[in-house]
Amino acid sequence: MTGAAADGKPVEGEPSHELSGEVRAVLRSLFPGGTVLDVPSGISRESVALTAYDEAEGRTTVEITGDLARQLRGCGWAVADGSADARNTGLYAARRDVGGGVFGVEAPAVTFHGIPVRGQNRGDRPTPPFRRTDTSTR
Amino acid sequence: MVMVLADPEMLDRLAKSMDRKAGEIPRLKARANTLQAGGEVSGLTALAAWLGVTARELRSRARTLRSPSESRFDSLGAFDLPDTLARQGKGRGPAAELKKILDAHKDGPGAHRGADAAERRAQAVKKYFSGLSRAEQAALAAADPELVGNLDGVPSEIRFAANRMEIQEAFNEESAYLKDLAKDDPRYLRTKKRVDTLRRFMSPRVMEKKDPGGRRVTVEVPRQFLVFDADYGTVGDPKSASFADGRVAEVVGDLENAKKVLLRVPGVTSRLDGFDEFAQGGYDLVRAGYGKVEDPDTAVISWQGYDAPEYGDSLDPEKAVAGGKALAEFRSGISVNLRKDARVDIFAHSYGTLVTAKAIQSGLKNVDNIVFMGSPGLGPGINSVADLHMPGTKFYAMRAPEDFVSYTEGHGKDPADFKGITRLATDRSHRHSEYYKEDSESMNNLQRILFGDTKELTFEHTTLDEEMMGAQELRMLVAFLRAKVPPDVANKMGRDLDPILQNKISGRAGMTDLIGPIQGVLDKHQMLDRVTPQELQKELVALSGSLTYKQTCKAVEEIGAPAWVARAAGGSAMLAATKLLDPASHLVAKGMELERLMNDVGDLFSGDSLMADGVRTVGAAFDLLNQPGWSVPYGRSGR
Repeated sequence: MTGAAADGKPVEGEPSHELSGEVRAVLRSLFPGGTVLDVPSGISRESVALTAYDEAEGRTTVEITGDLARQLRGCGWAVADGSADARNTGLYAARRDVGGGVFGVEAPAVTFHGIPVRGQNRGDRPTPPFRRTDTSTR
Repeated sequence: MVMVLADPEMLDRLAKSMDRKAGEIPRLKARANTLQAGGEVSGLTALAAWLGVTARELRSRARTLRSPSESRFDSLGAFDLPDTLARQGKGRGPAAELKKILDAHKDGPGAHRGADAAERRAQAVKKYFSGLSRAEQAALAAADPELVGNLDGVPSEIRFAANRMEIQEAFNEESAYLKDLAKDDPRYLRTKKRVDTLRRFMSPRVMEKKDPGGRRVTVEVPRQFLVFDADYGTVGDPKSASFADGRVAEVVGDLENAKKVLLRVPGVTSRLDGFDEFAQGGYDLVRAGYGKVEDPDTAVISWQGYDAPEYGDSLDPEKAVAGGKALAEFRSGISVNLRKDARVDIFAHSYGTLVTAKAIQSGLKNVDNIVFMGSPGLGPGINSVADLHMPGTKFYAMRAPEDFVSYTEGHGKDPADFKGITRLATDRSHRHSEYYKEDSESMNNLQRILFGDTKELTFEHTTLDEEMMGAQELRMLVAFLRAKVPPDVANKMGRDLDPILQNKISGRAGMTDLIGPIQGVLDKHQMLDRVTPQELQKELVALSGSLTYKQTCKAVEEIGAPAWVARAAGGSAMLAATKLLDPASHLVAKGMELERLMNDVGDLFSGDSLMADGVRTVGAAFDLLNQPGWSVPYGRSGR
C-alpha cells in the first residue's frame, strides 16, 4: 500500500487517502491472489484510480460484477447495480464521508475511478510514474 | 559556454581577479625571503606589474563595451575597409545612382515579382558594386547605411559595416531612451535587455579556429550582421516595450566563400532583444561540429528577418505569409554573393517552419536540405512531402517528446508525420525549445546534415502515445475545436487556449479539468453556439476514456502482465471513467440542474473543480434519487 509523505512522494505502508484504502481493500478481497495497483487518472487532478486483476481468474465479467457488488455492500458501500449485464458492467458506488465513483469490470480486471470527499488528502496521491502498490501472485 | 562574447562584466571580474593575484605577490615574496628563496621568485615583481597593467586594460575595455561609441569610419575600420572617401563624403553620388538601379527593379504592374525578381535585382546591385573601388563601396555604405546594410547583392563585408553603423545609431537612441525610464516602468526591463543586446552586437566575439599549422587558436572578430533594422515590424508587446520587434540576420563564417551555407529560421516571439539566444544555436552548430572549432567551409545565417508573432497571434498565418515571401526573396537575393557550388540548407523551428512552407509557396528554390523542428504544421493542403513540390530538396522533421506545438497542430498536419519525410531522432531534447541543445541527438543530427555526414543520421519512429500519454487526445481535442470554429476566430482564440492546453501537457490538469476553462474561452469569443457545452463535454468524456484506457494498459503491462490482461484492465478503466463522467457531464451541461443538485447534496461531496462538481452529481444519484435498483445500506444523509 502506498501513502504520501509531506513532499507528496508516495510512501510504502500507509494509504494515500481513505478512499484509496477502502477501494483497495475491496479489490483485494475480490481478487485474493491478484494484483492491485494505483494507476494514473487522466480525468482530473482530484480523481483516484486503482486497477486490480488476476490473470488466473476464472469468473466471467458478469460474475465478477455480481461478486463485486456483494463485496462492496458488505464493506458498507452504497451500490447501484441494477443494470449489470455483459455489456454494461459498471457499478456506481459511494461510501459516506469517504467518496464515490465507478467500478468498471472486464474480466479478469476491475478498475475504480472516483473522487474522495474533500479533506481526504487531495493532491497527495502518487502521480505518474505510477507504481505497483500491492502485488501477490498465485 | 560556446559563444564567448566580450562581456564587460566578465572583463571586470577578470580584472578584479588579476588585481587580487597581484595583491598576493608581496606576501609571497616576503615568505620567499623568509625562506631565503627570494632569488628564485624574482620574476614575481614583473608578474605583478603585468597583472596590474592588464587589469587596467581590461577595465578600460569594459568601459568601452558598456557604452560603445563608434563613428561610421570606425565601423568601416572594424572590417578593414578604407575610410578615405567616406571621410570626404564621396558616397552620396553612388548612393543616388544605386537608388536609380533599385527604382528600375521596383515591383509594379508588369514588373517581375517575388524570388526571381529579388535575384535579378541583387544581380544588378552586385554588378553596380563591382564597378566601384572598395573605398567607394565603403563611402556608399557610410552615406546610406540603412539602404546598403539590407540590400542583397551588396558585398557582405560592406553590409556588415553598414549594419554596424545602424546598430550604433539604434544603441545611441535607445540607451538615451532607457536613461529616462524609471526602473519600475513596465517597459524598463525589455528596453534594457534590448540595449544590452545592441551593445553585444557591437562587441567582438571570440572565435575558435585552427591555424594553418592545425593548432587551435582563439581570435576576436567583429560580429557580422547581414540584416539589421531596429524599426521593422510590429511592437509585439506594447505594454512592456516601446520599440518594434526589429529584424536581424547574423552570419557566422565566411559567407561568400563557404561551401555550405545554412539559413536558420526561428519561430514565435523572435525579437531583437532576444536575438542572441537564437543566435547561440548558430554558433553551437558551426563550432561543435568541427572538432569544437569553427568549420572554415561553413557559414550559418541566423535569419530573424520577419515580423514573428507573439503567442497570442501564433495561430494567425498572416505573418508567416509575409515572412515566407521575405525568406524566399532573401534566399534568391543572397545567391548572387555565394559560391556557385555552395550547398544551401534551411533549419526551421516552430512558426519558422510555417514561414518556410510559405516561402516554398512564394517560390523558394535551390535549397538542398530543409529540416522542420517542432512544427505547428505547414498550412492547409500540405500533408506530405509531395505537397511541397520541391523534388530536388531533401526534407527532414523532428518532434521531441512533449513538444506542445507539434502536438496541437495549430497550422495543419505535423510534418513529422508526413509521407516521404525523414524523421530524425531527438534523444535528450524535450519539449519545444531544445532542438539546438548541445550533445542532444537533435543537435547531432542537425550537424550531420550541415556537415554532410548523412550516413550517420539517426532516426525516430515513436507514436504520440509513446512520446507522451495524452498527446494524441490533445491533438484530437484541438482538431475538434478547429473543425467547429471559423478559422479567424480560432486564430484569435489561440492566445486563450494555449495556457489551458499547456496545463494538460504539464500534468497540471486532467482532461475534464479543461471543460470549464475551454467553455470560458468559447463564451468569450461568442462560440458557444458553435460548440455547445454538451458537445464539448461529450468530446472530453470520449477523450478521457481513450486516455484512461491507454494509461491503464501501460501501467499494467509495465508490471509484467500479459497483453490481453492489460487490454482487459484498460477496458475496465475506460468503462469506469466514461461512466463516472457521463452522468456528471450530462448534469454539468445542464447548469441550473447541477446547481440545484449541488445545493441538495453539497454536504456529501464537495470540491472546487468541475470534476468534483460532476462527481457531486454522482453522489446526488446515490443520495437523492434512490430509485429502484439502488441498494443503499444506510439511510439518506441528514439534511
